[in-house]
Amino acid sequence: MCRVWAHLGDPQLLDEPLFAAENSLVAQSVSPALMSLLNIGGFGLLAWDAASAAPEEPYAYRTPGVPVFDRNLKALARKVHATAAIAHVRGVVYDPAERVGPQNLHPFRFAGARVALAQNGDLHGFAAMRFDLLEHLRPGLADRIEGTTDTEWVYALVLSQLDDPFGPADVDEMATAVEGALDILRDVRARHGIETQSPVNLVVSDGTSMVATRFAFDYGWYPDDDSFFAGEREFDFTTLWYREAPGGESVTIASEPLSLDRADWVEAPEYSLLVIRRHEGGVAVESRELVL
Amino acid sequence: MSARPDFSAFALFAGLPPDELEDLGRLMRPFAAPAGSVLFAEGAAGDGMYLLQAGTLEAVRPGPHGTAESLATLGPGAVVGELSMLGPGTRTATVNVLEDASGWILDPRAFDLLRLDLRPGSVALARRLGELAAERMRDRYEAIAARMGVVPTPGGYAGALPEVAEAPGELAHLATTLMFARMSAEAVAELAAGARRLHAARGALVLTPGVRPPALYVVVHGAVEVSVRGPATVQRLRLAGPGRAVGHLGVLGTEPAVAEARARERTVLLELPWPRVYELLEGAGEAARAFVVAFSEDVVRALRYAERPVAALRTAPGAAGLSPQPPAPAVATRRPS
Repeated sequence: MCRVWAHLGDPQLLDEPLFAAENSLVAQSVSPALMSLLNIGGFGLLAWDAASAAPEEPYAYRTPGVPVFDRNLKALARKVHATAAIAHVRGVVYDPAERVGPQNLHPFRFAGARVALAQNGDLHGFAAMRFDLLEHLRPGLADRIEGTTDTEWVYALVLSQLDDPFGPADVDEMATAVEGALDILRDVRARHGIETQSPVNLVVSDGTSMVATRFAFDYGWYPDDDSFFAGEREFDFTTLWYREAPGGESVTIASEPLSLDRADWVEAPEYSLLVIRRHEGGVAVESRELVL
Repeated sequence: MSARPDFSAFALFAGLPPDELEDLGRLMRPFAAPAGSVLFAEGAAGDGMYLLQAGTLEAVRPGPHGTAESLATLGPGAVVGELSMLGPGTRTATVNVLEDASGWILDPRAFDLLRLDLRPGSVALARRLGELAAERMRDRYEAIAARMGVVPTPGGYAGALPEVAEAPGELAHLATTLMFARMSAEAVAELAAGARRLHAARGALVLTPGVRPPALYVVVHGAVEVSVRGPATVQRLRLAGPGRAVGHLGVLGTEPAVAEARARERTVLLELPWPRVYELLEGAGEAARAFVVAFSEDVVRALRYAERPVAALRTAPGAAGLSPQPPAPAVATRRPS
């Protein structure tokens, strides 16, 4: 399973959440607090700067390497401020079939698209259902899928629910698109008789607003074997937390709190959709019940 | 301070056999904390249960950005940190020392020595701690309902869930889940024997607000959520996956529940009617004693969940509608001793 961190609001120097915090994202990549094990399959970052020349275009940094030893990332993090960002550590299972490489790194953002997506989750039996998703993708989107992850398909599915997959989308449209994509996934899973727990924590953003889910299909139904999905039962429902800045000027989302003292952090309830939007005085979080 | 705690000052231990108290006393060590210090902090690992013999403590719950809510002021005879006796977890509140405090501390690892042996005294103490936690859970649920302006009205009983046959390999599966993991295969089989297996479709009501839970329902597969549902928001109180139970508050008596329980996924439940639960809570056999500990630990897990800072959710359209239910059957009202 993966780890994710995201930010929306006032400019944030990336060094704090990625490296300096007590339980920073990079620290989580070697010693996560709320999961059993993370086999690192790479790191990815998108960072938007509202004051930059093309604010809708994020900085992008992806590496299949291990972020804790990445001096380029450290140097970047000490310099770059972001008004929105998604960073992701990819977790992979010990399996020769696993593909570790640049094409499988989150956050995904097709060239020319405004919306990006990262996932902390895994769709059980995805290989069996993958091509049934094709009929739900807008023309031309399937051709852009380069990697082998379920997440890239989920991303294409979310884009396909937008009025214009490559155009701007407000936060409510993104939220509806995410719900629509999860609905399709549930139907396709049912068609294939896939009934095993599959967490789908998503973070979706275009740099001006953000949507996140803490969600799972078939929670509580584990495979009767020693696979990864069975092993995760000790750690229950994949976690998601958020923190609002004291003045409401920004919101941080993370798989697990970045500080050891969790008093400032709120746990997103299971089966929830976080809708994070800018307003005149800052940034606000709305938690919605996610019933599909 | 004497070499052993004076248990008569603590209601928690009333009625326990003297030889069991003697064993418990041997496992305790004294503590002293000066005014102005912190006995333990919210979020820290639970290092034991404190019996306050002298002094004054204040329990507070830290909130975001330096805020704090005072929960209680405690004097001699108070017991704090008792949840750490029943399973792992972090402190749910900070306890500050207002006046020099002293007393006794019971280390959970030491308590485990007695518990793993299923000694009668430790089982009795686990049962009392479980009841204490259930009372706290009831107070917590009612406080949340009051804050949301929700007044439960008796509506019906979700007793029409269809019965299903025991699935092959179910006992082996149960033995891997939280409630049964530390029991022998014989104890798991004894507890499950004769219990009905019910199937709840996704969205089906398992417990209705305003009605005393008619039984304890242990999740075998799937998940049940316990929540207080208002007109515009819903507050999740528990998500019970495999090896967790819902309906604990029924053990306290006939008081109606303020929360609903609804299957979040298709779910298989093991139904333990209250007469059976009471029989187990009062029983002396291995399965009964193991059940007391497992039940109490699950109450504590449920309480910890309810006390977490979790965001309230805006209700999804159509999620609040309750389907008509048949009337509630008669249920046992005897409380465990």
